[in-house]
Amino acid sequence: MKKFLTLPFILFSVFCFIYPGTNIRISQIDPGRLFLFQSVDCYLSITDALGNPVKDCTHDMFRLEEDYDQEFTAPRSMKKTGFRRGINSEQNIFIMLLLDNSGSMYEPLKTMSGTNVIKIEQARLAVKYLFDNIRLNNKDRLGLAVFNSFFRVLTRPEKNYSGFEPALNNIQKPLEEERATELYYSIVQTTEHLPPAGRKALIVLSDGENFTFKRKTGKSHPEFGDKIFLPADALMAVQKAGISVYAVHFGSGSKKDQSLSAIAVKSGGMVFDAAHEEELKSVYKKIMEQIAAEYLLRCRAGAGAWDKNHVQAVFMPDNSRSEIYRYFSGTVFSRPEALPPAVYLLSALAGIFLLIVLLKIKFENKNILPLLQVLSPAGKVSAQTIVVSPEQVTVIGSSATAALTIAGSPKIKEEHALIAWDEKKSAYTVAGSGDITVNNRPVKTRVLENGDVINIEGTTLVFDQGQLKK
Amino acid sequence: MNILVRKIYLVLIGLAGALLAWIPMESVIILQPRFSSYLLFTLTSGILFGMVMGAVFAMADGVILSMPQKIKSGFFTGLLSGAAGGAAGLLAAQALLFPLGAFFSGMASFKNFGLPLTHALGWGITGIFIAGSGGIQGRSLNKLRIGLIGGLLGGFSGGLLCEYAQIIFPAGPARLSGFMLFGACLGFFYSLAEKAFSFGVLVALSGKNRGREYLLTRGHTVISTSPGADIPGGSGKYTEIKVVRGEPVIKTMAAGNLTVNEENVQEQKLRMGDVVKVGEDKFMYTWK
Repeated sequence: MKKFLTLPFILFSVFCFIYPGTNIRISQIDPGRLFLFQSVDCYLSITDALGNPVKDCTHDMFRLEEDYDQEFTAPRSMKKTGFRRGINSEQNIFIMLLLDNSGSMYEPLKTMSGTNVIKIEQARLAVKYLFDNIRLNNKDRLGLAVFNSFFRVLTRPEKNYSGFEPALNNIQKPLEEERATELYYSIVQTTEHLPPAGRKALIVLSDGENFTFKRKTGKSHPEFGDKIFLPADALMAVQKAGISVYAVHFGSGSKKDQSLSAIAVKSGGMVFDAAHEEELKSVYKKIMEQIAAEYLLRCRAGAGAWDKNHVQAVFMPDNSRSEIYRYFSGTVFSRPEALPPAVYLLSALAGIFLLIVLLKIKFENKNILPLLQVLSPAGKVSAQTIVVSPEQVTVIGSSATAALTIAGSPKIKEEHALIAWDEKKSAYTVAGSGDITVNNRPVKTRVLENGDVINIEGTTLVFDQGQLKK
Repeated sequence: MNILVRKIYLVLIGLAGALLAWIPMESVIILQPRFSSYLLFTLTSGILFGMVMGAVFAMADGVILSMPQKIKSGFFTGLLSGAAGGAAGLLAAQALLFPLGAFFSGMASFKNFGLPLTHALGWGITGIFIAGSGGIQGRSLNKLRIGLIGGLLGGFSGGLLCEYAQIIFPAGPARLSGFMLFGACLGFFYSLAEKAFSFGVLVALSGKNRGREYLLTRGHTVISTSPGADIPGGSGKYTEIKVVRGEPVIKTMAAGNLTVNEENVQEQKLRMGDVVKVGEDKFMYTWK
């Protein structure tokens, strides 16, 4: 029994020795294959206690769990369908470097050799170092943006590097009104300058905390007015764009923006401190190594009826868990509703009943009396009808006593048209004392047929002889 | 039956279709977790939804014109074209929904704005295919255009109402009411598109159909006593209204069968107010 209990303990100790203080992060989830192949690609980053990437992991050391509930009350283990080490050493990495260019970056800072050099100069040299390394591998893309009260993109992460160094060298000292630190706003803005697909990272170098323009100057921001950008806005923007943030707090003893650190962790990135240029160089090196050493774990996702799926990665040797990452998995019809069976029956009956009613209604003309129907100027059948009596003459004209009085036109006579039953022809006849047309032909007198169209100075009537003739 | 009554009919037919389509749809949604993939689930639900909606919607012309032959042929072709349209529509909608949903999921008001909007776009695409199946069935480009526009507008607005019904009344049969709104909107916007893209109206002036208004929505409209005719009436001789460069031209194959303003013709361009006599039946051509 003792032996039985000792073995797992030894194994656990060995794992802890090999992977001491490991940290697992989901740096990105790509659900691009979800619809067609029912799988998601998960980019995993695993580092040791010193922040160095752990490169020798195998697929059986990882597990992905999913749950529609973000509390992870009933997680389901996802089936692994693919695994690759060092995935980013084979594909392009798009990196945006967001450099603090606020007033405090122009304060002196001790270098490793003990001399005082202003922070921005040290940062500039470290960025140059990063740039040289990236240019050497000819694969990754580096862009540069600066922020203070404002956000400015100096170069985008593109293949052409020619503009990078001049842009870096031309970073200007901010004017008085530009000396604020609009950190969260700038993170939101940066997300728009990275490509929609591929592995994307944002390195934020700052020596202080978010300090808004409004707070510094008491005035509305010229670009976004009184809006205050919060850490949640920045986190939402980077998560939406699938960007992992690497936060670098620069300078010794400077204030650290704790929300920036939280954004970095929640987005699958990391937090670093760099006291001077040399440390900054080693931080950049570490970030690049971490990204390059990421693992790709492809897993089969469930097809549950929920709008968001939550995923957590587990590093099995020490059971360490990543932050929970979520991705959209909603369907057009959304979630099911729990309804009693009677509702289904009622719905079917209502649908069938409605169709039968519509089928049964016949819009047939069952008129038996001869009549004249007035058409609207657009030719539509109106509700106004005049019954034509075989016993007497039907008068149409401007007279108030006419069967149909047409007012408003001086051309219309008191008895403009008369319709009467003609015994000899056994038909109704129209006779005009003024201008009339029947079926668009001018007439003075004419035997009427069913459906004839009589036009009297713009008033259109349709004759229906009905079923009674006399 | 005038154009307004036709509109009401289309709305009610859409409503009936939705009431019937909801039953298989809801059953499939309940079974969704048992599907092995979103693709299979989407395909199945699209086929079922499209079949029922397509069959009912394709019967509309037959129901409106009280022509049993048209109802029967509409039902079977609608069943097939609706299944294909529903599957294609829902697949396209779902393929679009995933990236759109990912885009909107970052919004603060995702639940109340982004998600309903994303779903409504999916409904809109589904509507295009359901309503467009009428055009495929009728082999008419103009009817296809009517279906596309009416289906998109009706599907989107109905889908949006359906989504908000689920947000406002989460406990009740929200999707059923939403489906009903979807069907009614599909019928309503289809009727609006039908009117907007028609080539005019033929008003029956005589016979049992006197007062009935026929929208000329197809490139070729057949007036005949045969069961498959678009406009019942005239004689057994083939008479059609075809659209040439956007203008309707009436044409008959038999001499003495057709008059326009009391002149015997074999082929003539129609102008507003023209009185057409086909066999014993009279019609007046007017603008929509």
